[in-house]
Amino acid sequence: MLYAQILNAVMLGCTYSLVAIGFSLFFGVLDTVVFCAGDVAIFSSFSVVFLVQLIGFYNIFFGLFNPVAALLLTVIVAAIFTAILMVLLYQLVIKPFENKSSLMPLLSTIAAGIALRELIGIFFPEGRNPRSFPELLSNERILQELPGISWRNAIIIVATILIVAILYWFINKTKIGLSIQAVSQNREAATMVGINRNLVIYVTFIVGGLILGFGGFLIGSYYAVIRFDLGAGFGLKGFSAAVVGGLGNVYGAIVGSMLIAFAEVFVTAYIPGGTAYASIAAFVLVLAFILFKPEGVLGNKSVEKV
Amino acid sequence: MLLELSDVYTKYGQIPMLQGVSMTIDAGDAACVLGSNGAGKTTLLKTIIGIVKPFQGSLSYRGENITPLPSHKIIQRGIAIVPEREGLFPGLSVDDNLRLGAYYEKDKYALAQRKEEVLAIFPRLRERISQQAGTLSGGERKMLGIARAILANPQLILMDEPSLGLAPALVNEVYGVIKKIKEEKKIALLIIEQNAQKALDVVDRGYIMQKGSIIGSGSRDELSENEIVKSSYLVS
Ligand SMILES: Nc1ncnc2c1ncn2[C@@H]1O[C@H](COP(=O)(O)OP(=O)(O)O)[C@@H](O)[C@H]1O
Ligand SMILES: [Mg+2]
Repeated sequence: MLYAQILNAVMLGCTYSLVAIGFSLFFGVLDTVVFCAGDVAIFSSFSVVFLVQLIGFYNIFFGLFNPVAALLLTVIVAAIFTAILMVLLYQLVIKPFENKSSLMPLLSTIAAGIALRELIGIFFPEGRNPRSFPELLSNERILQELPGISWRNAIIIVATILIVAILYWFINKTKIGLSIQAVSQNREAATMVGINRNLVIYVTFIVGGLILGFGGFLIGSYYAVIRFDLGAGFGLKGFSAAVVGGLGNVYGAIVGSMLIAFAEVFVTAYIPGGTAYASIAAFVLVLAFILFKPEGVLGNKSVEKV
Repeated sequence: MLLELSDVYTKYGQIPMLQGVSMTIDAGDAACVLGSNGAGKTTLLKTIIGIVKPFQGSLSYRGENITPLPSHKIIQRGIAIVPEREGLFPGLSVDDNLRLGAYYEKDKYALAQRKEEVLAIFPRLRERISQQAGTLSGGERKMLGIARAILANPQLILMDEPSLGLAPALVNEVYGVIKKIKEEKKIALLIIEQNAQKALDVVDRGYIMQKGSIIGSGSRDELSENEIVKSSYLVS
């Protein structure tokens, strides 16, 4: 029983993580919260549904590709769609307001999130109804002796770890990745060593968009049923996780996601009538951090004292 | 001529800041700008690298008009800056801070060689190469700022108050390094200081700045004898 709960919490934590990482990356380079990240992830889930239907429609596709290749192609194309959407969102709803006040991008991205949600609801066929997410990852157990470890669950966990590992390599070992960190840590100093902040922002939105894109696929696979307005909840959880972990800190976002997921799962499992309290538990955790440790678990924007 | 400012005016919002600043720096030159707090010295440096844009007047670098260029383009032309304070990336290692200094260097071999030279000048940075910059002492941070600027292989380094906030022994150490750079490398220096004594020790000539204007200039010896300098900046 405990084993099952832990597994469940880790899975939930994985789905929150990728959204929370998106929040952290964007906050790092912009110093403002991009509130539509959850909706962007759900846009990706719907892109996957759309692409799978498209592929099903052109049946030849499966004749051309083996199922694994078709799956990878679908996910990658959905992630690319999502990255393009993220860059468009930056260009249209964040950049025009950037130098006005930090509140404006906050409001405009909340509005963009609502718009995105409603656009899915309106333009996707029967978009306002819950939709079953195509079962691209098999629900069969990998080993009969290991309950709970289906291909789906294993792939969600491994894919999350893999994405985080690639991100780690990217932001620590490549020059453009280091300059993302430089802009996050000290915007003016970044300008002074000649970093092109605009370029860094675009790259961050592409990378963040790809991660939200993969996140949308994992979310869909985990929940099996998606809805046009799921993004609001994911946005709130992802944002909370990023705050708990220390806004702007990518690894903190993962820790924050796991903390929130564990809180939710364990409150649900061990407190009578706990389902009702699960979300409250998550927000109590956030409030506790804001009150007692506002820099978050791994927040490091405060290292900067002499 | 390396850098030329012609009659440059800037403002912050409605408040005028630089008011008709003109100056020139030649290749291999070492000059200083002396001025008290709030005179506009940091603004001058920010204007040179395009963070603050003039509303009148122009800047040229090696004959090219750089007034409209974005900062990264100006820096790419061969100017490096050692900021006043907090100019580092505290969460990145000393090594990564250095690497970002040479942002535009494509030649990996040349970069590795230059890094060796720089670390020979700053042995303490070598010891702390994988430590986070935020954990360095004040003096070490200054050194890292200077090392990072040299690594960019610029023709001109701008230094914003290198002595600020350092204990006297460290000030001597920092100026020892600056002197070494001047003598060994063919890099022009523009040093901004309130500590005229130290600055005049290494530069050949300089300017006096007050309330956004250049109110005087001259050779090292002339400035050392200048009444304003003697009364305001040589009191220490
Ligand atoms: N970003 C800014 N916005 C508005 N005023 C500024 C800004 N930066 C500096 N100032 C003002 O301009 C004046 C000169 O500042 P600065 O160039 O930093 O002087 P210095 O480096 O000589 O001490 C100061 O009065 C300062 O308050
Ligand atoms: Mg200053």
